[in-house]
Amino acid sequence: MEENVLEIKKLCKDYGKSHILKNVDLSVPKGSIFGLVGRNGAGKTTLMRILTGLSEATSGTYSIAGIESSDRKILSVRRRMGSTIESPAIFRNLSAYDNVKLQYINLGMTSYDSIPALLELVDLQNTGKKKAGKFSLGMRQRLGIAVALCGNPDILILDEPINGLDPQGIIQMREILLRINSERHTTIMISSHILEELSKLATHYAFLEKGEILQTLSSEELLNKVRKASRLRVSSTEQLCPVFDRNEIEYKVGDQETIDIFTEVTASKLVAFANEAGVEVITITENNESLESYFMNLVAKKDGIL
Amino acid sequence: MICALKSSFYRFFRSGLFAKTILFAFLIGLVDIFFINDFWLSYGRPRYLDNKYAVNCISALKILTPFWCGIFASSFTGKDISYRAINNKISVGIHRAKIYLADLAVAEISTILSVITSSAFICLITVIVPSKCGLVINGQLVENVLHTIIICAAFTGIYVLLQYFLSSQLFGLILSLVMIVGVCAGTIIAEDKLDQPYRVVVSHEEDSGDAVWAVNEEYIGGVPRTILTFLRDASPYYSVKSGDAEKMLSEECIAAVSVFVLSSAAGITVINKKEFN
Repeated sequence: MEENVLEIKKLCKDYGKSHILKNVDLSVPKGSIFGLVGRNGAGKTTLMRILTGLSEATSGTYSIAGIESSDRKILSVRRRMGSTIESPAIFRNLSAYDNVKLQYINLGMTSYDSIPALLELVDLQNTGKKKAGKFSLGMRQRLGIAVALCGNPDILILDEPINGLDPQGIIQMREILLRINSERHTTIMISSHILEELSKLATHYAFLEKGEILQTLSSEELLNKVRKASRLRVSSTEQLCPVFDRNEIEYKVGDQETIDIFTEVTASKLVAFANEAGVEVITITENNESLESYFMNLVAKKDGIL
Repeated sequence: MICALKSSFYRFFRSGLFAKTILFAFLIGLVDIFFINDFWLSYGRPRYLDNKYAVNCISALKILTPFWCGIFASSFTGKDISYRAINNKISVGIHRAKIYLADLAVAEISTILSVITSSAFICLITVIVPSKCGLVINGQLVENVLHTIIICAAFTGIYVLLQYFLSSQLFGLILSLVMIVGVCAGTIIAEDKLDQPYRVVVSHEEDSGDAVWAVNEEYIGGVPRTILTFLRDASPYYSVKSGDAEKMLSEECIAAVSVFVLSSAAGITVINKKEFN
């Protein structure tokens, strides 16, 4: 049986009359990269803030490494957890080394020998005495990760760690997180708006909408569930649609030239349909439904649109 | 607690705030000597040619040092909150009350350092000026320094609380500085209100010279007078303004200690209840 490092039971959070989290139940397996997917205001950050002790839940419980949130030992077990919520919490008037050392002190560590290696892991080894305020956004995000990694935590909670990063920064961050997960076996809970990027990292997902968990599943389960599609590039999609409608083919028009077919049909049959409509087929490719569209379908189902 | 204290002290030294505390203490000492206590205006000769000059200068620190305390609270505690670096302490399980007390401890140490440095600077200037106005390091002088520290510590207690309560470095700083001016203005108003010592006033008619008794409308009596008198006596500005540093009012000390204890308790309550972003 899979061992869970984080267990959340019936967690609720209210701000006045608005219910931010509603009976959230979640289990995060040890060693996983757990992707939290949700729109703005879905409650991702609130959930992470509760887990890191920055905010109190209105009701419900959670446990970290088997220690219940109501237990006084929860404070000591938090030492095994690193986090960055929204933007990196660092002192801009201190250097990267000083920021990391400060977190070592917060953790009660007395040896600082591992700081250079930690800075090297996030590619900040050459920043010297430069103040963090003069760092680029990507460097600050990486410093935030370094601070979160102090003390070699078992669990890492990262809220939007790739927000605002350029493509190179995103790749760099992905490599760092994958390295931490594989080399240190750190469990990572991560939220991001960039779902395509999240799909390259996560081993498990939870879809959150309006404070409720819509679904939790592993990446293998997701792969089985996502709808496979044949993507057709044709000279005109407009003429092709009536032919598909007549033959009860499920499809989705992308633009004037692209159309996704969800019904299982052979390539020759597709070409025959195109000939019938009098359009020219340019390419046919196999295409899986993206995490983004899977999530949007889930949300639409919840809202009763689909 | 040790971790929280170590962390706060590390930041105190690494962020240059220790050096700034010393620098500002010298500046405060200079302002005190040259502008507040008439040294400059009396052409380099202090007004008092005895120990009273140094004592009075040190007493004026009760109003000057809190300006630095406000700046310090904003630069130290305010930055911790606005950079959200406090999250790093909370998320690794340091008790919130300990975080507050560690921040308060460093802010108070900066206050004590500032008062002692300014006092030492004042004493030094007092002995080296050509007029040799005289300095005797006696009980009165030491008592005055301690008294000033207690008053400034109370201000610092409020400023640290304000930073946690408002979570705005700038707004906290503005409110801190306005508060000192407010204390001075409040003392002047209270003094003005208490300036009417009699419930009944007597005037004489011009023609007959007969005495006319009338109720003094501006007189404040009873409990409001007692409260107003306590508030005036408790104000650090009152003893500074009276120019008589020997008149160290117990009300001033009682009020300062009460403010310090209450603000610390309020601060711990605020940090325990606060939702950090």
